[in-house]
Amino acid sequence: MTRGSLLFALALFVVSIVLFVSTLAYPFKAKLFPLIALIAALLLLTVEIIQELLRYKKGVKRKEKGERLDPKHIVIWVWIAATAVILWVFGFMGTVILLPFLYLRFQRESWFLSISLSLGCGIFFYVLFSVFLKMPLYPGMILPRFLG
Amino acid sequence: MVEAIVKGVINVLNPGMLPWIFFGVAIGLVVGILPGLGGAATLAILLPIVYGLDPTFALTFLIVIHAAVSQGGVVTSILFGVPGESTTAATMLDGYPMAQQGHAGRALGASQMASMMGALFGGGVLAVLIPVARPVILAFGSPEIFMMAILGISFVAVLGRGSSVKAFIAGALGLMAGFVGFHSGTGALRYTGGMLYFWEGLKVVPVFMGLFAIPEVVDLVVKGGSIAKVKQANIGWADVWEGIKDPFRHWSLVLRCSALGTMMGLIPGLGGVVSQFICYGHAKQTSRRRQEFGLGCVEGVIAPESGNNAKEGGSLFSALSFGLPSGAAMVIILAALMVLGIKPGQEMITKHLDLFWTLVISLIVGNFISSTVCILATRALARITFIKGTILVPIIILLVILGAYGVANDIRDVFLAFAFGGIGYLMKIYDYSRVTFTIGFVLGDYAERYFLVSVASLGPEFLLSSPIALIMLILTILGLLGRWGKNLSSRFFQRLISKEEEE
Repeated sequence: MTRGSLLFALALFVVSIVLFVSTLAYPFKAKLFPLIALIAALLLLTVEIIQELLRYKKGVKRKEKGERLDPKHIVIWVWIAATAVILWVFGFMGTVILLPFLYLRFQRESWFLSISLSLGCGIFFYVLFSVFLKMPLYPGMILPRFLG
Repeated sequence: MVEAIVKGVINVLNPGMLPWIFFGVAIGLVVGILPGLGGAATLAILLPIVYGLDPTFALTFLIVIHAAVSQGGVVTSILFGVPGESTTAATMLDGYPMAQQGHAGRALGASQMASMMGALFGGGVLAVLIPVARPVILAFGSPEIFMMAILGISFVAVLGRGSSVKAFIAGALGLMAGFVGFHSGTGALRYTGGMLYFWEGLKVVPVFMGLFAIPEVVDLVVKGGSIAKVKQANIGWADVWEGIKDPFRHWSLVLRCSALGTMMGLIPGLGGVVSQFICYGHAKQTSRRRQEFGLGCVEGVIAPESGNNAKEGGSLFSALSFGLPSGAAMVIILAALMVLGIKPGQEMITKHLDLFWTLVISLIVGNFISSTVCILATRALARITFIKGTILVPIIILLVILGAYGVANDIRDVFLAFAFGGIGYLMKIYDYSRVTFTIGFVLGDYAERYFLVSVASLGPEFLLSSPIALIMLILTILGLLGRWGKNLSSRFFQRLISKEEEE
């Protein structure tokens, strides 16, 4: 099946069309190179979509890496999205401690490993960035409210 | 000049200097291994330390850190598929697949030896170049840099794996990603969606982190196991030794990429990000094992590493003798020179020739020591690739967060990396080359900027006014035609073979 590939090519085509329309409004010098790139992209995407459609019509079965969605794909993407939320809410240091702990517990690793790795990461990052390099670490949404 | 070189060697090997060199190597390696802690930022942080020091000690210390940073960056790129530095992204393309095949030791050995050879080449070329460097550097204006960028973009034809249509689509979309932001020629804001964050354009490090590291994290979770996909650990010295021998087996490639790197280092404006991909493209274009690139080909590790380290010699030369920095790190080194009361420029190669050579030799020594340290640590480092994936996944995600955040201490860069992680993942599963996207992304802006400058200063026929640019144009066309001809002939022979088989 080439449905996923076809849909991805169609999505890229739509994005390129939107970019093409917005490019037309720019001054000549600013739109020259983007137009060259977009025209090339649109032509090639047309070729790709036709090829995909022909394959689809002929019923050519092609092994595609993402065709059968393993539930593990969804799990890791949920984790990545959750990491972004944890980072936004609890800040840099909160994520450094929470992410390894929660992920390792989710994977049913031992309590000892989960706690020691997350604490180890926390101490290492805090000492290196906050103490030695005095780098301003993102505090998150919650910490500043508690600290005023 | 020989006297100055000898004095430079004596200065660097002075017992008082050695602790500073080792300290600099240690700092540089840590900074390089941890993504996001850029070399330039570290030099800036350490700049106040050099105020009270003797100029030779202070500058050697900074140069050694600069040399060690990229050596450290290679380690993260090869072991985790996370570019430790933006200048080691190309090394990751074949280094990480080698680690997945259980050959992390060989990849690290080859990269470190190639780096060492590249640095030696860069330093050696400088010795020869001093009398003729000025006309060489001055010969490179905007038309030549424009053609260099076009030559780099033409590698899109070579670098994609699988469908060439998809490789070109990815290259064109990469160009578009490079055009995001404020257009300095007209003041237009392109594709910013009204967001102030995008005015500066898409930052290289978060984009690289997302495109390459996140899909590997997904892979690690889905496939399970460790980074190395082989059952038996192959992390003995024999594997490392094979890696050390590889650059000698491919000595011609090392020489060519080192020459390319030195040349690109001499030209201000072409950074390390560009030069590594041009060297990688050149290696793939000229290799007999082209099909193996991206799957763990050692030539794909050797080429960018030798080019990248040879480039440092060239950029140090332009910075010291002409005051023309090729990147942020060289700007800091120039600032340190001025703080210490030394004016970069012609005086460096007339009045302060011994200091000039001290710095060049400290760059070579810094590379040598950090490569040696990395080679000695390779066996231990390679074991990381056999650690259980469940333990490595949160650490790699943290490295991505750190790498993206550390560029500008801006949390939005992390979200950008995650967004590009999604794009990179879709590109990976539907076979759109992430390498050609990267080439377009890095070089598009250069090509556009130098094209407009060339047209403004020399008119639309600017290519005709520059013999070097014309030669590069011819080389680009010949390269593309050669590639097209090879494709046609291989298809013809394949059809002939299949017809014969049918009969």
